[in-house]
Amino acid sequence: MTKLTLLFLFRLQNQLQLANLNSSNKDVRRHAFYTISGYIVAFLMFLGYVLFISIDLNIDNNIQAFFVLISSILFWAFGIWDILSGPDDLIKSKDRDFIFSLPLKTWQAKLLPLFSKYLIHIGLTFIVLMFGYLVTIAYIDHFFLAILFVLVLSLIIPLLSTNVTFLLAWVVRHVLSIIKWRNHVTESIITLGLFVAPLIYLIRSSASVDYKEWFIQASILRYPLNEINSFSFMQHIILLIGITAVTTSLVILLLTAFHHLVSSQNAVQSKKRRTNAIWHTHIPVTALLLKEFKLYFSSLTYVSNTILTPVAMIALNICILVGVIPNLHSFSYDVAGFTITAQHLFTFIMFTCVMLTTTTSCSLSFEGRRIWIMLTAPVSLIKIAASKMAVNILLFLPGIVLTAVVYAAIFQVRMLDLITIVALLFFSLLLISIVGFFINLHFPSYTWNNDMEVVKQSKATIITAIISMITIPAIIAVVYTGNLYLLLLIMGIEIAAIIVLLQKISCNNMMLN
Amino acid sequence: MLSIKNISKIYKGSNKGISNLSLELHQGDICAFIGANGAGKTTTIKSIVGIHPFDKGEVTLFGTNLQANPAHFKSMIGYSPDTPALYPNMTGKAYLELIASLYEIDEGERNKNLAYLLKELTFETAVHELISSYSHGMKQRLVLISLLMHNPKLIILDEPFVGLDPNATRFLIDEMKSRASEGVIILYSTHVLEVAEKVCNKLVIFHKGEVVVNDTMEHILQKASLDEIFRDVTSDD
Repeated sequence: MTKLTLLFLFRLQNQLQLANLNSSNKDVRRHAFYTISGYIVAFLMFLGYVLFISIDLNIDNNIQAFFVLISSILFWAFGIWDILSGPDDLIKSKDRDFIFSLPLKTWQAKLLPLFSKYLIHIGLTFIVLMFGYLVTIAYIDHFFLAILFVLVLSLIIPLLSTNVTFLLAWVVRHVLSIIKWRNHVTESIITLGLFVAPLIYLIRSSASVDYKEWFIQASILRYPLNEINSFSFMQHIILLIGITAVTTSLVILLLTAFHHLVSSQNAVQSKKRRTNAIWHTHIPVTALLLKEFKLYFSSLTYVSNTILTPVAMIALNICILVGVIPNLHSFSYDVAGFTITAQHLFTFIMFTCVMLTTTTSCSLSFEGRRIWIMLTAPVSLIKIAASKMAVNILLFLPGIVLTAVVYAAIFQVRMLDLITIVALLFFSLLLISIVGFFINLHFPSYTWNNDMEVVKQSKATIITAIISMITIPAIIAVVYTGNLYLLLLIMGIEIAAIIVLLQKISCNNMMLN
Repeated sequence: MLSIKNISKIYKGSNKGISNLSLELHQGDICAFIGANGAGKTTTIKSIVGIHPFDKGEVTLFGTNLQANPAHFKSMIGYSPDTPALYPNMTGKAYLELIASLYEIDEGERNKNLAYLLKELTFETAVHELISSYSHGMKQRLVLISLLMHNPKLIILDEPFVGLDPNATRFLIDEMKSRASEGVIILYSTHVLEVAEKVCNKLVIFHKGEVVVNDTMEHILQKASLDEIFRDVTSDD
């Protein structure tokens, strides 16, 4: 086994927490077990979804488009995942110093994170496509050509999605640095916006309301499997291979020859700092809130993974207010005997956005090894909690205000209904913020090395997301009934839960075990 | 007075920690914690400053109990950890402003102390830079400024000389002596026995989670050199 293979396997074991399964510490072992179980369950669910797609396409007599659809879903899913993770892990991975201290060639050290990512994505894509191949084998005419095709796609999809997102992120970062407008929020919103823009454009220009059509339209693969032996299919595959080769070469070139330029973008900005001689102090809660905002915006991963829903709320509300979405009042959709109007759908989306937040569920863990500052400071836990929850609430506040405007101006609901629904929206946000903090307080993790470990993979975040997903349908069902007393009852339950949790937090003596 | 009575702390999943530790320090005392790695020095310090909960026992400072009134207790202490993990995206100034706000330091006192500390630790320019650009020693100096800024009654330093340059080391030693002469209690862990011998009036030696020596420096040095005593009491034979 070569040194590079050994190093790759070592990193993989640590990234997937496999190494922690043998830890002497019981808590570390347990955390690794939960994380790995979570990965496996998520992946099995995705395979289940692949099976569902094959059945769905078969019902539509369109099974030949299976690989077109799967290629599209994998490309967009990997791309969005990569953007949410940020490009920094490829430029300056957390174990950079360790890698560069090893007896490797410089280019090997520089490209190791990129190749690790390629290999993980290629492996996952191959399993999904092979699974797809097996479930659609009855409809495949050219078995061996199809196998070859699966192998080629297993390389093209992950490489292309990784390359495109990296290049896009780098260009956005570079342009924002030049115009001196770079911060993590702007960077993550613009990068994600530019990446999904073609997908949104195709969805908007599509006459269909079927998600399969949307993704087939937006696929990098243009030809169905029954045309596998046609010249145009071959031409298309060669074109994809060519684009993949060019983008891969560009990424490799950037990360090797221009590695210094790419990795020094942060430093260039930090040099231009004002030296203000005036010292400012605030009351502790304000000081904590300002610190929280700095901490929040310091991580591209944290911002990318938590800003989507607040921004989506604002964007959707503005779109409705300026009339981008046509025929809103005539829209209605029948689901299992229930009629969903535009107002219902709007309400469901707003509640889902608000409730799907996991900002506070990792806010305490996000302190990391700096937690000693909070633990030794003369401030109560409730003040720390308040500042962390306030960040989340302030992120959603513009969206909630705009929601109220849309209810009043577009849907013209009665004042009492408007107050009730907006209050319920606010208390739901407050509740999920407190729940997230409370869970994080009980499942903290301060010894992480990568933002992703707390933002996406921590036990607290996973539990909070599960609670949100269970609560959302219940609240939406009540909102659908439109019964004022039921809405007030739900609000009452939420307020009671908020009071109980706040009391529990104020009695808690936050310390490390 | 700092009073530590029978505190025990055993880490979950291992038998490591501290057991039945008692200690009293009076105003003006400078006490060094010495011991091999893993002997219990840092665990004791983290228990005193409120980072680790202890399984039993109590800690009081001038009559304020840590568990009963943690905020008031913590407002009287200044702590420097062994590894100064700080917020990298803040400037040193923003960090000091945060600490000054949390400790609710009077503006006049803050400005006077900052002017003195920034000058003495040659940090007037560096304070405007991002913490991510600091070396280990600069982070140590920033933490020292932040903990001395609010004039604590108890200063607790975990291996404070690691990473400090000779000037900063000299400043810290002088500051410890000067603050102790004003009635501040100083407690620090170290592996540098020579400095402990010169600076401290009290010494605690840890071995495998227990206090094996707890005496005045004067009394200890009457028996043998610090190095000989340390080797003698921490030997397993």
